[in-house]
Amino acid sequence: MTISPSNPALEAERIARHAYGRVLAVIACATRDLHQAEDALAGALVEALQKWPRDGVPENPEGWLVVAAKRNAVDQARTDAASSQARTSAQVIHHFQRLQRAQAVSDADDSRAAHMPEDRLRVMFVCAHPAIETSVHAPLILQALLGLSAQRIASAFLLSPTTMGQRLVRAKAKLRDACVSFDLPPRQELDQRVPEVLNALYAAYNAAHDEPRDGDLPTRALASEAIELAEVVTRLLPQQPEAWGMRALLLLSHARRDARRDGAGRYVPLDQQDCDLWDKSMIREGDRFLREAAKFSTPGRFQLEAAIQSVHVDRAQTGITNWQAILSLYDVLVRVRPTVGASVGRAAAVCYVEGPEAAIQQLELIDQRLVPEHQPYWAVKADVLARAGKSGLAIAAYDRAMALTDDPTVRAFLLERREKC
Amino acid sequence: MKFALIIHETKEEFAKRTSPDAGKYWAGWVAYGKALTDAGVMAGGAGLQGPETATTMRLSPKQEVHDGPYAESKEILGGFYLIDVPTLDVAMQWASRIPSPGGSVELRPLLVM
Repeated sequence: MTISPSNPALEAERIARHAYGRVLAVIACATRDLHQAEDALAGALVEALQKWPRDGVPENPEGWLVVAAKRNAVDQARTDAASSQARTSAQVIHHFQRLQRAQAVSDADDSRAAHMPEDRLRVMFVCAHPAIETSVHAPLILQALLGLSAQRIASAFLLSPTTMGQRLVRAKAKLRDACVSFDLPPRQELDQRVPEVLNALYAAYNAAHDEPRDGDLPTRALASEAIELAEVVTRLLPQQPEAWGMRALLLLSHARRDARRDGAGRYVPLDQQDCDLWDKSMIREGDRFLREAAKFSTPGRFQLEAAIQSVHVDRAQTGITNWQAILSLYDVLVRVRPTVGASVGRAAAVCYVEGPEAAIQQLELIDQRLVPEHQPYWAVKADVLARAGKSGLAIAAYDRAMALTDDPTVRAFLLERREKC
Repeated sequence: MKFALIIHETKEEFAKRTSPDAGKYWAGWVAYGKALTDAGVMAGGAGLQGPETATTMRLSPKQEVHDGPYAESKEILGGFYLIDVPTLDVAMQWASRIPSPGGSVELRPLLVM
């Protein structure tokens, strides 16, 4: 037992929080039931937060939590098996199998600990399973591996807590009742299923990253934990170039976290950020992963987006932004993954390379049915119109961009720009 | 875990049953059924006659009988298999091999009773 120096209660909570995803994955992979695993771990955490501040944090807190959660899972399975819910012999057998699986969480928890990263990867594949609706993939990852409450996930996805809660409950029930596999997909299916996992993880990072706007500590930790999950993916699936690409993208974007708001908490757009506030070691790491991805010579969405970020942060070295390079990367991106976001990003690059009139033309080529609620489209449109001297149209576009953002600092920034028109 | 694979065929595909291509059509299903049996996962199933043979009865409050399938749709309920496999993922592998281009298959775990 080690006695933590400062505030034992806070220290216990920090460690427990950090262990959450790993321990949950171990229990869930054994019981093949996310919901039951969450309940079992919640009980274990309550116990830990009572005992650890008093007795000290155990040397192997994750092992401790696995043992406690497993005990809860077995107790629960035993209660269910004995309850009147099991009416027929087949149901009794079913409950008994659940009990056996709960007990199968290896007693040798130290050997189990070696498998923990792999278990988290398995849970990521379960959360991003094709049998589960795509929009629930990222929320499931946030809940299962980052331990977020349905309420906080709901606010990140602009849904009511009740709706989000219901979707999560339904998804977990389906995973259990339809007997979804908790094993990693076989080789031949892996390539097909990795993109779903990466998309979900990326959405989870963005939600974790965006959520509270005051840059408080728990948010930071959450985004870092999402980055850690990307690390798990590249470590266990090193043959997936897009996994390296996504990890690079997360780091290159996270490296700029301190520069996105100024001292007064105001929004600072990328091209005006103070490079001195960028995290240089994180940038170096991101660039290294991007090179790792490039070894496979199979570019993809995440590699391209990471490469665009990499050119942006190169400004820290060269003092200028190479918009021509950014435009070339967007040219490829809109072919690989034709989305409104990619076309809008490309139009912004066109503005710097060929001027605002050319950018306006590019924006007009985008399918207009897809743009009414696309905030970045209106923000970029407002900017290029203002640069082209078309104040009236620019003001209307700023109004729309402001109406579509949920971030007050972005709204204030746009208002300031609008007033200069 | 037992799953029902409930197969909806396109009208074009279903029409092959009575076309000059019928031999090829049925050969695909026979081969598929044999593969399920050889793999030891076959737990039952049946092909169904066409929707023109269907009668639908609506139950309480007022009993109604009408000629035709439960719902008119572009796809035709052609039949179903019951398979016994460990996970949904394995069931999906089998479902992906069903010889019905353009059609769809619904996978449902059977109730434990």
